[in-house]
Amino acid sequence: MKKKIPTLLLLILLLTVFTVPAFAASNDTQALDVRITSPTAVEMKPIYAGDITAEVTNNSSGTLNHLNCFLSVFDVDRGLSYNVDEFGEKAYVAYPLSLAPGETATVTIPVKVNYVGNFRFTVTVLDLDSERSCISQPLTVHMLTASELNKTVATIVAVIMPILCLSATLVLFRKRKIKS
Amino acid sequence: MIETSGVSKTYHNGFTAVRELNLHVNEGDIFGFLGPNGAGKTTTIRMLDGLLAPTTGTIRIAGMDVTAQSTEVKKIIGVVPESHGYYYWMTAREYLQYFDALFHPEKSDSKYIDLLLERVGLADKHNVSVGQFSRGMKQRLGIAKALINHPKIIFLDEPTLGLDPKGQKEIQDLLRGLNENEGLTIFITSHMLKDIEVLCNRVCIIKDGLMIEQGSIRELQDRYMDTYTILLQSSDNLRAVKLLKDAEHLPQVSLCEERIEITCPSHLNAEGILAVKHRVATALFSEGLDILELSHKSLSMEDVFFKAIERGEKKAVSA
Amino acid sequence: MNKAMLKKELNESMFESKGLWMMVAVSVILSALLIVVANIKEGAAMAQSDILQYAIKAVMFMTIMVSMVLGGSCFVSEREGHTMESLLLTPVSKFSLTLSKYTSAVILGAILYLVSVPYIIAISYGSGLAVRALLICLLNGGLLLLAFSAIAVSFSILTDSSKTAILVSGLLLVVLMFPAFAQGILKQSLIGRTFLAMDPLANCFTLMTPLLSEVASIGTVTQYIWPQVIFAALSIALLVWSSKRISLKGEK
Repeated sequence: MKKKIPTLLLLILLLTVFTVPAFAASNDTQALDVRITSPTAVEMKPIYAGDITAEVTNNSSGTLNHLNCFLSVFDVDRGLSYNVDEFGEKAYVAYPLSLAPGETATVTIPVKVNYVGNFRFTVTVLDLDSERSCISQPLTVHMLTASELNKTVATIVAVIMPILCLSATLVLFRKRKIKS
Repeated sequence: MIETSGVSKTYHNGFTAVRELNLHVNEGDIFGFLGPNGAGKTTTIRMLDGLLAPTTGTIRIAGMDVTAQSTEVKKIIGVVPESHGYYYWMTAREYLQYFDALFHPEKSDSKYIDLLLERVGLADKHNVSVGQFSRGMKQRLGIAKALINHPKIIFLDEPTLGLDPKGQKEIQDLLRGLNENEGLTIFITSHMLKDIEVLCNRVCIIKDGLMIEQGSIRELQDRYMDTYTILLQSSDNLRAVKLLKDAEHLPQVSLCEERIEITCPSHLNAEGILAVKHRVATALFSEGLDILELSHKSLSMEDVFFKAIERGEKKAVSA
Repeated sequence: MNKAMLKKELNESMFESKGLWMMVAVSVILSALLIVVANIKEGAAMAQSDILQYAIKAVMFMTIMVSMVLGGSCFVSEREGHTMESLLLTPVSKFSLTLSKYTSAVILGAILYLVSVPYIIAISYGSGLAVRALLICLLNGGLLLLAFSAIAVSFSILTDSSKTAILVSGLLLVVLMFPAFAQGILKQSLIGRTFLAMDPLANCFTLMTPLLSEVASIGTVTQYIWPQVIFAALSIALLVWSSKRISLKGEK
């Protein structure tokens, strides 16, 4: 009886691992690996223009003919994902690959970031034959604020200008009325 | 002063508004240009002042070709268009100053503006905005604007349209004064036949773009008078009628209100009419009746206009 | 150009066509936007150069719209008010007439740009981008102002109602602005790229990024200026051509 309980638990665990699709997929994608090799992190202002290099490895025993590699961007502060074409002219391009068993390929994605914020860039590899994907470790891109809006100056101008314009308008209308 | 020769205007849509117009306006004339609605009056005025180019024919104003020398012509004419617009936010003085500056950009003549305001009776309203003006005041301001460039000819398209009798009289007096005192040639189109009769010395009648008549008012009246009617007022009209019918055997004698009308036979010439007048006077005096008034009936401008239009229609049908 | 007519047009635009009130409205709108951007959390997350770009776009849009409204009604209002005939009967040439009205619309636009100068300086305060921002606003904005005012005045000559003239000019502004907001696939397509390369508004917006965010030299953005220069030249050519077609109401 004492042996039966751990055996049962082990069975349940094994059943769960192999029947839940997420675990199943996770297990299978180990056949494919993608890793951003450079840069390791970005912290810049006001603009970062460079290449993101990723290595894609086929760990499976068969050839993977229809792999596609592309960039994704996540804005941590704003909780948004973006169209990557805003992050460089060629950032939106997907790179097709074909890898023999054990082969590794390097993909270079040129990017240009001129937004301020805390981003995570990832490279995804999609295998169209098996309809499975693999995502790289996130690359931290921290774009710093070059300078900040001076709230005091902005508020003063925002308050004074309409008053000035309104006064000038009233004076001009009054002047015209007196003239005629 | 104005000479047109074979002037026609056909619009892009094929509509011919004016055909073969030959006008002759002398210097110092007050020339009336008459016609029913759609006759081509406004098109003619716009061709005369250079706003529209004639399709065929030539127009000369003060010897200048209107098409070729339009800028020069604009300097010697003044125009009061039919639907005359104003900048309602301007005062009368500002309005005249503005047009003065458009004509004379080099220097403004404020004394002349004062004079014009005085002449059109708006001197006391010079600082009132045009938006507050009555229709008559606006029309007078329009005339002042037309005079801003010291023109030799002034064109007025329906100048008394929509004005009350007082306003009409004011405009008539103003135009007559300009003609008599300054020798200004005036070209008027109007529906108000009374205006034309009172103001103009020469007229032209146009229908469907065709000129039907042109001449002095007297000439047209004579041309369209079929019969000659003597108008008579005696000390006793009843006795006079009886006497003329019975004793003198004048058949066309009738009493109309205060006057006796004697219609002469249409075949009579001037001498014959004089002879009838002589017979009538002798007969009345011999019976001891006094003659208080002896005149003849003449056609009104309205009669002339309708007869001319009728003749024009007949001509068009026969053509 | 006739000085008296220019003076009258300015007077009319400022006082009668509510040009001065439009200036007050523009200033109130800019102030409201600035206060919002300066004080809300989302605004604080934006880079100063980004805020500056948005501000310049807003200033340009409002200025061009006001000039277009005034330019689009200048000839039509003369026709509708029956004052055109009197103007055409003066020795002032049609071209001079057009030029005076066009200059008035442009001057009013320039006044609005001047009103926006303090806002641009306030937004760019401390970034060292003020001169660049003002140059973009006044030079590029100036080119677009010249172009769109010319288009509006031309349509005012060629159409019979001020509504049509303003609507057609406004529509053209929106159509030309459209490629600037194209995203993703459309932006990267051949048609998208062609439009982006030719569109004066998109080019004006595009040059702001290298000039304000990347602080690139002015020489590197000349490719974006040419479409605006060509567009302004074509618009002025349209204005000159239209000036010969000034006519009375219904004559066309």
